Amino acid sequence: MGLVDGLPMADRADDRDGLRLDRLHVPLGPVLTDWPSGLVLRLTLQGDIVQEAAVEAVGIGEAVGIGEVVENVEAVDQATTPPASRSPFWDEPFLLAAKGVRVSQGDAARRLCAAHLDSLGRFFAVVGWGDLAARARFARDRALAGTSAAELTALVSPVIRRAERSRTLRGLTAGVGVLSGEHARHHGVTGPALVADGDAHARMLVWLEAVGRGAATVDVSEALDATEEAVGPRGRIADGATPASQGLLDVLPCLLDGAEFACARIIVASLDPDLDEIGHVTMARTHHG
Amino acid sequence: MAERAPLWAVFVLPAVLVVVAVAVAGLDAVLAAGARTGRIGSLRAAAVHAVRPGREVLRHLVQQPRRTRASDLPLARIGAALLPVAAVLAAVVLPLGFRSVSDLPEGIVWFNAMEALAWAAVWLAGWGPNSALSLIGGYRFLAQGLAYELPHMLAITTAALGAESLRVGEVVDAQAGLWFAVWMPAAFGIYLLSAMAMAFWGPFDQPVGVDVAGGAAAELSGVDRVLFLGGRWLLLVVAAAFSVPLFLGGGHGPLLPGWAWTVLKTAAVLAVLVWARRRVPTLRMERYVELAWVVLTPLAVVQALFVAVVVLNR
Amino acid sequence: MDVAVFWVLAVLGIVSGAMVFRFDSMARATFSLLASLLCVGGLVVLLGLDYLGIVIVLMMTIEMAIMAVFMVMYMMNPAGLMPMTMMHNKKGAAVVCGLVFALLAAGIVLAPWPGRRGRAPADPTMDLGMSLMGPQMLTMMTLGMALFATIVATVVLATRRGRYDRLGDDLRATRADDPVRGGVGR
Repeated sequence: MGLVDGLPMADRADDRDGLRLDRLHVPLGPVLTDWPSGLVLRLTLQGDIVQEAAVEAVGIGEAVGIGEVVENVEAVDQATTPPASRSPFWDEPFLLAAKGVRVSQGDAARRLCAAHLDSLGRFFAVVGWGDLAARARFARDRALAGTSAAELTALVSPVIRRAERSRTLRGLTAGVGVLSGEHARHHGVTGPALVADGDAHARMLVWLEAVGRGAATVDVSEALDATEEAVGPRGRIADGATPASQGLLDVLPCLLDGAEFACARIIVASLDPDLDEIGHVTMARTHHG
Repeated sequence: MAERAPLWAVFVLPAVLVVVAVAVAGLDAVLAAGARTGRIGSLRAAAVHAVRPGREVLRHLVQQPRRTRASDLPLARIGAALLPVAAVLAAVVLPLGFRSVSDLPEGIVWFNAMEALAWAAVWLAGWGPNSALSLIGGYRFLAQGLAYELPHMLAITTAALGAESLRVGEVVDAQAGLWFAVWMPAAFGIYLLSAMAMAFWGPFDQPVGVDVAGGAAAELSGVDRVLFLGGRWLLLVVAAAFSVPLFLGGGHGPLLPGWAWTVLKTAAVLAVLVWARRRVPTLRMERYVELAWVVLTPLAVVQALFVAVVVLNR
Repeated sequence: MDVAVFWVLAVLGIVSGAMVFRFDSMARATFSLLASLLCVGGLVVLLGLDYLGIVIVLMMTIEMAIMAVFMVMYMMNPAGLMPMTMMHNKKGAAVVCGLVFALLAAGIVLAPWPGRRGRAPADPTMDLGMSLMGPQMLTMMTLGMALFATIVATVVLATRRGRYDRLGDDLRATRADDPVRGGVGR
């Protein structure tokens, strides 16, 4: 791999269809529109087909991935290290409840609903449906601002209806990033991606369903049962255990292999790992150990 | 038969196209701003949003242009500038009422050739800046071109077949009675799809999509960016306007003069396209190409066969 | 006017054709070739063969754009970072091109062209088409079909995966097993 003007050149390798063609190494992230912030994908591209992908989470110090692991994290990556000291925003109510603080079921449902709306906003933006993305984000903002169950339901139901009924969206996202339940469990995925047991479209449907359910219960004031196992927006939350998003990162490389660039973006958006979770747990571990 | 327009029309044409393009971009910006809450909001707010595209243009013009490392600047510049030029050249055969700047005997082929120049333009703009994302954007447009061009060519050939002429003026004349859209609905539908595809706009915006951070336009800045993205709006306006003489009877219509009918019909087509883009996500080419080749192309061939049989028996 | 247009297009066409040998980037060489071919299209229009000229512009633009697809496949460095030329035997190719150009130009200048008899036809494209193809329409149609059949056959022979790979040994799979799923769902 030569250098021209300080930039690495493309080299050659066999591609998905058995041809030997040029390929380019492209890092994606950590900052990109509608991208899980902090995530870095080291892609090997042939045309716009992802040949290999290695996952890195910026600022966590350990690189995870099946493909080759790139050692040096660039300076720019370190500048954007997420503040891992605070607890991950979307998991907050569940973590507090686990610590014994009284958290109402409504507050937990509100945060869960908003988290899924946030993910849906990114997902719709990446599939190129700006309108629905804007609607989902507006609903998320209203949910976090503390709106009532009735208003929130009125806001999210048109989004849910349109996304569920769109045959174009189903035709475009069906078969993209199929993650069987077995495979997901093997990698320790516990959240919506496990429930969906299928492609990007199935994962979106699980989110939509959870948003609809959550929106109706944001006013419930009974306390969250702390003895029950907490399930956050990305999956099971247990203090000190492997975070749910780690499982999502682990399945990414094999799902991305051989995907078109646009499909790769959709796969990432449909899993939507929360890098804050990983940073938080890593920090907690270093403190304990 | 279309009359020849006076020479000054050559200078008026680009100005008219730019005005229409800015108006459409404004309408689109209003709808985009209203998408968040599902309501357009007050008239005042709508006006503020409507002038946003104009403000963006000014902002880009005064902005410090940025360059990427080891870029091929001349190629990127040529690509960006070629797009509006191709759009205006294609518009030369567009009749306003019954007059076009130049009613070439092969107007339909001319339009098609100029629209193909956009392929080269987008690819050059994507290749030039030396950025992987913009390269992917430019690359995608070629895939899109291969997907939409086959049914598109058959659709416009069908209109020419119905009029037994490649001259746009004669195609309009042939629709004095019945519009082609009425008895060639499949060709009309395919044309509307490809009008969006050739302007890589709306559901076909993958070459400049969000997922590649702006694709072919990702690294363009300053005047280049204005030319490229403006050229895209011009191309959309021209492609939509060309459906009027081809399928919607051109200037034919009761009461109003010919030019008024052309303007009304063009505005209606553009409004439909702007509305339709908000209803669907971006169509990815690896999915669309199969639809285009397995469904749309045979459909267009059957439509052309039907028209040919009708014309032979006339 | 026509003479001026002729010279401008002719000089531009030759210069951009020669530049194909000078550029060291594949993209520049390709689009310089396209510029040369567009000038040729303009010259054909100047001859009064509007249809052929415009079709040359259309076909060549699409053709060069498709060449660009292969360019990305074989050389993924955007902006032509890696200096690269279009052809390997550059000197030989340049000599051959120069010789052919000189031969054709000499032919044009030296040939005893007949004077015009009668008047120019109203539609030269039509007349040219009739004289080229009129009596041989059947031959042309057969040739067209044969070419098309060749293209299809070549693709079928070249592809690694057949219908048994896609639909199973008994061809009964409900959904084809493709690396990338298509939009129709066959």
